[in-house]
Amino acid sequence: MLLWIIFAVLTAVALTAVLWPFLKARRDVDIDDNHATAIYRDQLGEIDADLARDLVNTSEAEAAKTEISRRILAAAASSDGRRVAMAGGAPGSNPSKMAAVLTLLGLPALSVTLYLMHGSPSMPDQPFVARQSAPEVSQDIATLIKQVEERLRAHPEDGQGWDVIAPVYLRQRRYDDAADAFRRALRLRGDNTGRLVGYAESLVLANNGIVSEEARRAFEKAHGRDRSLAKPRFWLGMSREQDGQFGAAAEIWRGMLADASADAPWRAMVEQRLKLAESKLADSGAPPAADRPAVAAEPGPSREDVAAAGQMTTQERSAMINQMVEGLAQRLQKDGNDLKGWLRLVRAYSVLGKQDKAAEALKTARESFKDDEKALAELSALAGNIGL
Amino acid sequence: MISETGHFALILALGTAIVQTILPLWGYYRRDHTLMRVAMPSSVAQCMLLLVAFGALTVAYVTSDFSVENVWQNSHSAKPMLYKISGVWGNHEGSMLLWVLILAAFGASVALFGGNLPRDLRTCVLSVQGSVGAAFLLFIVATSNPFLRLDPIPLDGKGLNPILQDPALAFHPPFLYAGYVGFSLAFSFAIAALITGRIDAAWARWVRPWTLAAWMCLTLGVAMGSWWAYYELGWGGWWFWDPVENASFMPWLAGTALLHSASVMEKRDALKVWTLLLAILTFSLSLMGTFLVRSGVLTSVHAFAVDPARGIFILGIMTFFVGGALALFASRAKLLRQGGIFAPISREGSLVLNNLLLTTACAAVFIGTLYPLALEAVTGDKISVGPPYFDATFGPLMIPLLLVLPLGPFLAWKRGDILGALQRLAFAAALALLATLAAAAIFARGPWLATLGIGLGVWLIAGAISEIAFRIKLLRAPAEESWRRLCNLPRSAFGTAIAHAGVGVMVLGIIGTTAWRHEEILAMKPGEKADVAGYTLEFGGVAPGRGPNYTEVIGVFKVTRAGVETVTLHPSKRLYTAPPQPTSEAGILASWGGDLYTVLGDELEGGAFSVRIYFHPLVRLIWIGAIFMFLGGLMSLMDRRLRVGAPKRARKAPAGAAAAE
Amino acid sequence: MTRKQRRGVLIGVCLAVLGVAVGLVLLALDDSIVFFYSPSDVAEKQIGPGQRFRLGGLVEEGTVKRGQGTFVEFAITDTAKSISVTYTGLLPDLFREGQGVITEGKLGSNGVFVADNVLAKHDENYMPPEVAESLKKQGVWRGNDKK
Repeated sequence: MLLWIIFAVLTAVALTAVLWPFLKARRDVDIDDNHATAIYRDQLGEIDADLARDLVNTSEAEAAKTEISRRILAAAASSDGRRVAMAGGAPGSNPSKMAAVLTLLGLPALSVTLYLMHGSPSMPDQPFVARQSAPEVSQDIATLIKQVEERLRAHPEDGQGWDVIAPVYLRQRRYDDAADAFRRALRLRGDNTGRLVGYAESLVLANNGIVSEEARRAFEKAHGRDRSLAKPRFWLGMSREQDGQFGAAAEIWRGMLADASADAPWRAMVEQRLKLAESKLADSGAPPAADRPAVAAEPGPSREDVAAAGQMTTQERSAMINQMVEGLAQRLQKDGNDLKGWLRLVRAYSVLGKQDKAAEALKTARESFKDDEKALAELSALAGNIGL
Repeated sequence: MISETGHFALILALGTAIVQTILPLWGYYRRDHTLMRVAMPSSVAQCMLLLVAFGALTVAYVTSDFSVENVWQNSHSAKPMLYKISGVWGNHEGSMLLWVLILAAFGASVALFGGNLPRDLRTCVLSVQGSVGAAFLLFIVATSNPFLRLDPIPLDGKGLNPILQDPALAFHPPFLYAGYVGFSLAFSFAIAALITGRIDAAWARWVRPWTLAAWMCLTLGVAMGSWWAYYELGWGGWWFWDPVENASFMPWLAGTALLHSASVMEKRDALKVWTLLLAILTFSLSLMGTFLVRSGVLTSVHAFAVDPARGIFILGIMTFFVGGALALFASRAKLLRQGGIFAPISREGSLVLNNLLLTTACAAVFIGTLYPLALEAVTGDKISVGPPYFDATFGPLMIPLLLVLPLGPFLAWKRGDILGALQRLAFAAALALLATLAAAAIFARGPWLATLGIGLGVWLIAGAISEIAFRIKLLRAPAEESWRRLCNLPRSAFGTAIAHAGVGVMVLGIIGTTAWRHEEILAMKPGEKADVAGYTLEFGGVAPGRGPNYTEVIGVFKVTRAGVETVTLHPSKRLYTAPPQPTSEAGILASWGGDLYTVLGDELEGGAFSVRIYFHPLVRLIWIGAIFMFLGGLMSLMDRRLRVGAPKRARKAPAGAAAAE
Repeated sequence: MTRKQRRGVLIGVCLAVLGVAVGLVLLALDDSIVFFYSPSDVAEKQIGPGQRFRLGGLVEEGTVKRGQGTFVEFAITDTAKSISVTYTGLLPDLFREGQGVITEGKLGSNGVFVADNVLAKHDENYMPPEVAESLKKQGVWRGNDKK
């Protein structure tokens, strides 16, 4: 609002300046030419001065004076002509009033239109210093963080310190630091929903919004503790969506909306995600799946995905499958503790006929579970099944 | 909110400029004085609004508001404050904003201080000035808006090219632009003269202070650019005939010619057609300079095609104003009556020769600058026209100009006496001869042309002093009378002499540094010594250093002369952090005799460093000469006669004029 | 002198100055322009030793060898052809392997380009325009056509 007041004041000042002659009529019609004659008179004076200084001789001075006098006469004549010519117009005539009105309307209209084309009136200034942290206590927080950090360097086993600093990091968008701090706090002080959610959220944000297996497990744990928490449910939905299980994602979010009060702040966002998921689902031609459990027992291509794959051309299908497999491989590279994921990946490579890649994945998986006999047994069983 | 206010003020200024263009001119044709009077307050308002816009952008830079895209592109939070501010005009959008601000400031000063101008002329001048402003404001709003915002906001800026982070370059563009843009007033005056038919001696007097001010700024701007190139680029040269330099040099040449031809028009009512044409030409060259630098054509004809919007827009503006001006000129040809007559040997004659040589030299530079572009556009062949071309064309044209320069002021108007003038210059000629012989004796190995050049420089300086001496009858009249005459001498006479002497000083510098420069490129290990031009440099190794936004390797050179240790030089190689880029900082020992100039190169095998050492004799004089020219202009600008018919006289004019009849 | 004669003198002087200027310009343009070639151009146009030109391209990776003092040897390539260059002097700040440069000099009889000037402009993103152009022809450079 203040901005528009400033704009209005600027416009008013500009208009007043531009239209000043209309507000303050002047009577003297000064179109004379004594400006020019003043100069010529001065030039006459200069010649006298030059003569006095012996710069020119008398005859030269006379010649020059004649020349200048002729200019004075010419200027006077043209001045008369001009005065007659300029006297014709009347000040404050109708066309000039029209021009004033046109300016009065046109200038603000043009300015506002042009401004709205490119301007960002709702965007506040963002000076660098103010953005460093909260504006009022920016310096204080910075020193506070430094103090805590120093203390933690000396006493890395101080759970409370990590507890304090983790959410600060998260707010400051230092996601990797935040995840690390939450992990330490979880280890040192045990888990509660706050730490779990914070940890998982830091992981997700550090990972550009991808819900990793680790994050999903933390969210699930928090969700198990307190079913009313919004964040875990939302992100669990996101994780389904990222796996391509739009139906399952939609299901979670629908449940969320049903449980939530009408004025929950996150409602709009969830609704938007839900709509997106449903539209993706509709694109694939399958009905929203209502019969699947909210949290799938075994992650894998959902029925919708399979149905969608069935309607694609061979090329599209292989592209989609490849994409899904690649996504899985990438996720496992970052977070290798997901046995089911590894089993699925090895199987997928084998189905796609990429035996070498399957072997490679198997090797990596065996390495990451080398202390877990049960897991190794499962991997070996699979290897036997697919003939590796 | 501040940057949005700036954005709105910018757009409002565009609207004001449009009003300033249309209403007064319409009023002039309708003889409506109310409409005509709109010109004055609206040009002041336009200037104020642009000041608000420029201030807002500056605040955004100072506070590192990276939500403004332009700030993000060209600044960084860790940059020193001076370069945060100079970063405002260190980029395309900001520099265009400065361009229109200066344009509007010149217009506003005509509105505020142009009381000695007849109203119809002033109205038309401001209207034309407004139209130039409107065209460029439209250009900014449409293609180069500095106030566009970014969302989401990046964490930190991309930084300013470190080579531009330099005090000289911080102030080089404002002066250069003040010069470029100042010639817009000469253009506006010319167009207004064609519209109102006031093409006479008085017009030349009225346009003089504005042209002079623009010329002074341009002189300083070009000199600063050259100084910067000298000590920052580390190539040891002061002028490279680079197209960007030429783009600023051509308006200077044309503007210098304009100043001289306008004085003929003022005194003798002659050369009127030529002077008007020159005024249009000078500003056209300024516009072309802006176009060349801003369109990307200079890097390559093809770079222009990459982002045609800006280039074509400026090309359109240029075509409109230059074409329109020339068309108006042609249609008004009948108004241009023949002026006074004069003999070939006269003050006028010498000024015609001055104009002829200056404009021809300007044309030679023009061809050398644009020929590669034209050739590439037509045949696709890529060539470069380097210093040899300019040395071979510009030099020979300048020599006769400089030779006859001291003669001009001694010639009388209408019909001069060349023998008498030569007699009066006998002392200067003798001094020049002496200087030549002395130079030849000192530099027995030549080159002989350079010794003549030294003579030429002395000839120019002594000639300028002789002129003053002659006018005050020094030694020919009693001392008191000479003193009285000195006090009565118009300031413009001093101005002329100072500026002309400045040319001489500059010639000395140019000749000295071109002919007797030493250059050594060595591989030096710590502890090794090198002898250059009487100095002994001992390389003491390198030390690491760190600045606010760079790290550097500093070379240590102990300089001794004749066994006495004078100073330690510290050339360095810097690596800036944002953007990451290396630069060289020269270590310079400046003295009146010349500059010892050291550049640290790469580390070689075995702990040696490649080192470049120059000695540039007299190089300082080049810039001192430019300062002389500036001061000469300033002196001339303070001349009482330029204020004849100033406001207080104009206000009570009807009565005063009646009384004077 | 009559008015006509005076005008004659004036026009005569103008024509003389212009004539001299045109002569100078043509002479200088003939003498002092320098063509720009890429290594492929040199091979294609069979440019002989002794002709002065500008050679531009990328500094080939792994070819920069320093010699005695400030002597340096490197190869310039446009990825299709490459030419060895020798140079004695200080290299510009931005001279690196893989960086676009322009060198000015002559071909020696042994096919090695003897440069007396090496340019690499002062801009992180800057590719000397001629170099960019000839590399684009080879399909190598997808540069910053952003602005």
